Amino acid sequence: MVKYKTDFDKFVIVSSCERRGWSKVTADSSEDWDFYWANVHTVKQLFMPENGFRLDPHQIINHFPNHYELTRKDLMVKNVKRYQKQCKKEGNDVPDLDFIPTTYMLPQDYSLFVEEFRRSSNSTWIMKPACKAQGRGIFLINKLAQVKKWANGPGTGRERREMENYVVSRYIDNPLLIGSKKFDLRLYVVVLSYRPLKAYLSDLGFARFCNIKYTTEMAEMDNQFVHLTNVAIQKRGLKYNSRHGNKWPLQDLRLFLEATRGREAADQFFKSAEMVIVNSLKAVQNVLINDIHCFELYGYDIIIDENLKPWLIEVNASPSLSATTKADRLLKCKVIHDTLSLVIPNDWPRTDRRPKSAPAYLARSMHVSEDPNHATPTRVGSLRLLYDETEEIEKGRARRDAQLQSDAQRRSKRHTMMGHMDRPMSAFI
Amino acid sequence: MDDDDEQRAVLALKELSNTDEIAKMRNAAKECLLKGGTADVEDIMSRVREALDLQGFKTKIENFGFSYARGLGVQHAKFASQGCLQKRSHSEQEKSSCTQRTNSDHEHIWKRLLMDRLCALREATGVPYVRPPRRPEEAERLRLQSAGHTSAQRIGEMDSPFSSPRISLVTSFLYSGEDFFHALMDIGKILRRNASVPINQVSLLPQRRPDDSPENKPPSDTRSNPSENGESFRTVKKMIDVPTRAEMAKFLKELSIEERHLGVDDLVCPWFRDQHNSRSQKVRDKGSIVECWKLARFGVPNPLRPDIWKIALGLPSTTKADHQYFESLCESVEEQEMLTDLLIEHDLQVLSGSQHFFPFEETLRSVLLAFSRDPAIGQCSSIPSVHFINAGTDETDMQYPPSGVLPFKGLIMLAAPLCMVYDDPTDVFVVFRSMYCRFWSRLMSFSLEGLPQPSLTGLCNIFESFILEIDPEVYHHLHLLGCPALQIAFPWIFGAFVGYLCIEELLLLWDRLLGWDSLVILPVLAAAVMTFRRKLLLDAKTADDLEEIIDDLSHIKIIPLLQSVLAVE
Repeated sequence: MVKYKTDFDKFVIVSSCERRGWSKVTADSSEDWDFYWANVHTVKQLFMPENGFRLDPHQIINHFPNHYELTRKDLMVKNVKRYQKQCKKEGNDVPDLDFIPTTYMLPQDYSLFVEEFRRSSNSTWIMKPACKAQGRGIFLINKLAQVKKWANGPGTGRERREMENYVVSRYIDNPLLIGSKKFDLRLYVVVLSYRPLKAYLSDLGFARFCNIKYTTEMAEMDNQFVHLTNVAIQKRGLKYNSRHGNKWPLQDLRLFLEATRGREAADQFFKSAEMVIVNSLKAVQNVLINDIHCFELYGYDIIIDENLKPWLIEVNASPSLSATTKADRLLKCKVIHDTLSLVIPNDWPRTDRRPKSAPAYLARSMHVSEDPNHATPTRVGSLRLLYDETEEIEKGRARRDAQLQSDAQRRSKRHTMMGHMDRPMSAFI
Repeated sequence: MDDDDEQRAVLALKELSNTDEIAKMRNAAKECLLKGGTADVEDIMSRVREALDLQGFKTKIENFGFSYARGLGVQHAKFASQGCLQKRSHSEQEKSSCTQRTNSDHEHIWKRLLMDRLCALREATGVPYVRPPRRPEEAERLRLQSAGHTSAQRIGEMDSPFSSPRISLVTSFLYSGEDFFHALMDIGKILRRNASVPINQVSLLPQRRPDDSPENKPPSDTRSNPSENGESFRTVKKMIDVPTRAEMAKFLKELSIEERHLGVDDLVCPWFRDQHNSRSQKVRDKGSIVECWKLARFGVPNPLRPDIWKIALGLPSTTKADHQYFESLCESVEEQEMLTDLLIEHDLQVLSGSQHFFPFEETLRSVLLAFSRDPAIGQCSSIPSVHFINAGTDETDMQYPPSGVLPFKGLIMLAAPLCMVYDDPTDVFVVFRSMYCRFWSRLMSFSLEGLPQPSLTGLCNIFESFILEIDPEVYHHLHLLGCPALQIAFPWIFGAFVGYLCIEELLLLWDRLLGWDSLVILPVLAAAVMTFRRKLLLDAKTADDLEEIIDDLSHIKIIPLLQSVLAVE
């Protein structure tokens, strides 16, 4: 009997576990679980060396110990910048690498930021707390005076400490607009391991729209409803409509882009978005502790500018599991369900207790389209294999082998040709 | 050709000769002749023909001739099966007299009903049918209040300063698909009544229900009288010559199972997808209407849809004049408010809850408002419109609203999918107007046309006959449950499946509407869906169970269903 534990009493988690016939562990302190969908604080406690708690080989948990290297805004930027430098040094300077807007950490990089700010007059910048969520504490600036005001702002010692870690990025002021409104993309990515890197991307995702028409007017710079797409913010607006929740299915976006920009541009955009995800994971690959008990479901936030270039805004370790509409709930259920199908080993006992009212298509996602004993299937439900480092290594090896072989063949041919040249041209003269 | 046709042909040719095209053609021909060469007439002619062809004139003339012939109703001579066409012409005479009688009865009753409801709406909201035009200063003041740069943007935005504050007082629609459904069920009674019964004793539609919500189903007695002409199970009396499944399969022969289609084969065979893509590009570049139709029957690739739909509808590429026309219609909305604007806003509120279309709310608002002010539509609208005498303005006998189309529940949903195809609101407007005149106006007409271009009556008859032929078990089971098949399928047919199918499949379906220039594929698909779900339907014990089963069509793939249901064993 599989025992699962969850820190989130959310339908999308509980239903996926229950339908597999798992039983829920209720005691908070219990360590007797097989699968744990934990929140980030619990995980932090768990992996602290002082606690001395070691995971059994079969236990699976949904976060990597130091996931914050990717999911904290400031650390993500630091890692990506280091990765970009490294690639440039190795001569791998590809345009794909430019996927985060120019960002500085405050207060450490304050002087660098001021220099850049002065150089690019008239640009808008966005200030974000390094480790808050749901759009809290975010604001736009276009004058240095506003930063100074914030830096010298009132506050007790503790508040100042909290205010200290901010990131300031160049604001993408030309986002792609649909219906004159700004939106961003939420994509779901599952990482099974970092070394070798194995990542999956879900076909299911959505665009989150602002309620109010986008404008770059100064007067509206402080209007969060125009600029910030977080659902937590837009929900509070007067124009919020809970029937659609401002979420637009990813397939509709693709259709729209194909029709209005052409197929090549649309395909190119989605490929670039995939490269953004892969590059961001590669950037932290060597920094993350690759614990075999761990996997992670990330919520990637990407903005599209009007040239159809994707920009990575941030990576969320705990993407929201609350559902705002019926469609949203179906989508999240499916993503969680596919994630579990992917990460749970095949030898775990399983009873398919599908609830009666579940639509038939949910059953289809259980189909794994490759040999189930194979460790890295190409597709599980909506999750498609995005990057498999072992495969890349294999391919690289195969390429090297082929190269070596063709070199060897060429050498031997030359040898035989040389040999032939000494003989008379024709033996029949 | 009879006199009428001849007159029309003369007018049409005159029209053509006045266009720039003829001048261009003359110039091209002159150039060709001046190039010199032999004096051989044949040679000259062939060179001129070649030159004209190169410049695309051959296609333009073909297109022109084709559109003209379509206007005469002979476009299906090449495409329709012999059988269908024969049937149509043979019963033409008896149908026309029938049509006249029903039409005038219906018109009268329908008009009265709409007037009553419109009156009630005016009472409830206190908004006049047409407000006097705004003074220029007031219009200017409102313009400054709004954030939009163009007129279309100003009237389109949510909470536009031009919109009426009385919108919250509108609680129901003027009419909806359900009203048509009831009317159709009662049509049989009208036809059989002899002339001695006075018109005003005929009650066509049920008394207005207190809340016109879609959840209110009609009473479970299906209103079909077993004593009628043996067709005891039909919800709507059979009034047209309905084709058999074999005849339908012949008419829709491109859907046969051997043919490859977008929506199914492109996913399996990449080579077909590429081949179809290049074929579509060639068709688009050539610009011939006939070829676009033939292509659309197999599906149109997404990126080429904007161009190909325009060609198939006979629309030239959008010009500055179109933009200006649209803008001027929007300006007339700014200048003068009408009661119908409130109805459009009410319809929009349904749309704004839609998961797929909510980003396009503003575009659709401006398109629908402009549409209601466009007098060019009135000519092709088949539903009887309401006329006003002295509607508070100087106009006498003005069609109300200028387009002749009183907004009803769901009009906006027929425009919504176009926003997924066209970015520019002018394009959406132009294409929607064309599709309305060509297709959607037939959904509101009781006329008794059969194949190839049936109206609503014909579509219902075709649906019932088709499902009776392919799956009588389901049909009778549903009838016994008190929820006849047509009652379930009617919203799908009347709404052209918008909001039921997922967008991709919906656009593939509309490709086929354009390809056959007919709505006939709607009832065929409706029957196919029902027979596809037959096991679940047959297991249902009560009418409530049915709702759950047929609620969600968003995973349906339409092409395999259509192909399998038309495959004649």
